[in-house]
Amino acid sequence: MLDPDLVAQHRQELRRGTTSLACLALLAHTPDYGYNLLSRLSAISLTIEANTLYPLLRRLDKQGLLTFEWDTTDSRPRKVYATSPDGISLIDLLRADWERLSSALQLMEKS
Amino acid sequence: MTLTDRYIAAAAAKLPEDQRAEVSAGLREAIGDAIDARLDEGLDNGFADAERSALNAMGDPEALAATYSERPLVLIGPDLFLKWKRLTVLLLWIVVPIIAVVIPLAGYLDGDSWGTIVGSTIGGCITVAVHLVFWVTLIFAVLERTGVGAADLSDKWTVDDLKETPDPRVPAGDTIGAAVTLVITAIFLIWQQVYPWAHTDTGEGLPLLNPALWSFILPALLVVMAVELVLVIARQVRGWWTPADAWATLAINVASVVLVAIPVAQHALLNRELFAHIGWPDAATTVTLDQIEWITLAAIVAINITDVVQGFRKARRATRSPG
Repeated sequence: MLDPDLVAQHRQELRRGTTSLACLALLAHTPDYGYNLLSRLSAISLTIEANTLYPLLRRLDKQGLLTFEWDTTDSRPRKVYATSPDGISLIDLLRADWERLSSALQLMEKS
Repeated sequence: MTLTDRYIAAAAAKLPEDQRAEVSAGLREAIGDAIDARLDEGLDNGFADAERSALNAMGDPEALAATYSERPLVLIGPDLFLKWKRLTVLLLWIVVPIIAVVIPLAGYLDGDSWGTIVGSTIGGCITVAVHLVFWVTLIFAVLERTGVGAADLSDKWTVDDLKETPDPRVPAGDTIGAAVTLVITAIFLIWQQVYPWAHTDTGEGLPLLNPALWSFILPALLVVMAVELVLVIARQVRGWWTPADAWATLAINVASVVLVAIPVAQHALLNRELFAHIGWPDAATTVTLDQIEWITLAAIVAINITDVVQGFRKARRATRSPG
């Protein structure tokens, strides 16, 4: 039997880079604030912890891949993030990489 | 102050000044939304419970602050670790042996007792080693935090950095050197007795070493040296070191050190009559015969330790190498 810890570790490694791509892609589609983005990610079974997502969003913002505006319509002010033009260019690059990996996997299955 | 306020204050305290306000506002949003979501789901028992579970899920505020400010949560990262390890080991090998020789020598010349010398040597070595490791580690921790990488400290590793694998065969030079040293020492031991440097007024010879030692110590030493000569030649014939060789070297070295240490401890290695006759050391000299004996013993111990260490290293290398 496979050790569950071992599986979890490999899964985490495989997923690591996909989280930022998922955030950029979802926010390019519809700008959103942190907690809602968490729900949207978990709805497409890309579950991520809040204490990972919020710092990640801030880092992507510092890197110029996201922009944000304070939404003060509610009682609690929220940062609403949207993907910047740079972020959109990065999505295209990363998506192309992902396609390449995916077709490489399919090639391996055929051989 | 609510739990949330305390949590945010704890995280903010670990952030650089210019990021505090912004990250605090972000955290307030994150925690508030998490609490609301938990209340909506109705999993918790009221607000206080929801707040507790939301904050527990956020985890240690200091870890969260480190994630926000992208500060490393390691003292020395994988990039610098090997540089740190190699430098620390190298410096320990250079500095601690020097200290281990200098402190007892100074203590001995000061006329300290044996217990004091052993104590201050062990204490001094530990102190120096701890200091050395601490300061090297501190420097590397600072480098880690100032963004200096391994590439800034030295050139990239290439195959030229591979260590030469030493030939496991016993070099003829080693054997000849060891054999010549043994033979010359043996000749010296006999020669200084048979052809003494000085004679008494009655024409009796005064050898350098105490003639009473011929009753046991010196013949035993010659036997030990003969055994060592046989081992050295046998090793050359065989061609490589074996673990048994290393252990035999250890036994021989211990035996010779003990044989020299016994007369030294009894103040009877050197021939007191000879020195009384030639009148040295006199009132003008600060060295005593005892001191010369102890320094001779110390030198022999140092040579023997090196010999034994080398023996074990060569034996290990020979058993490891495939050839």
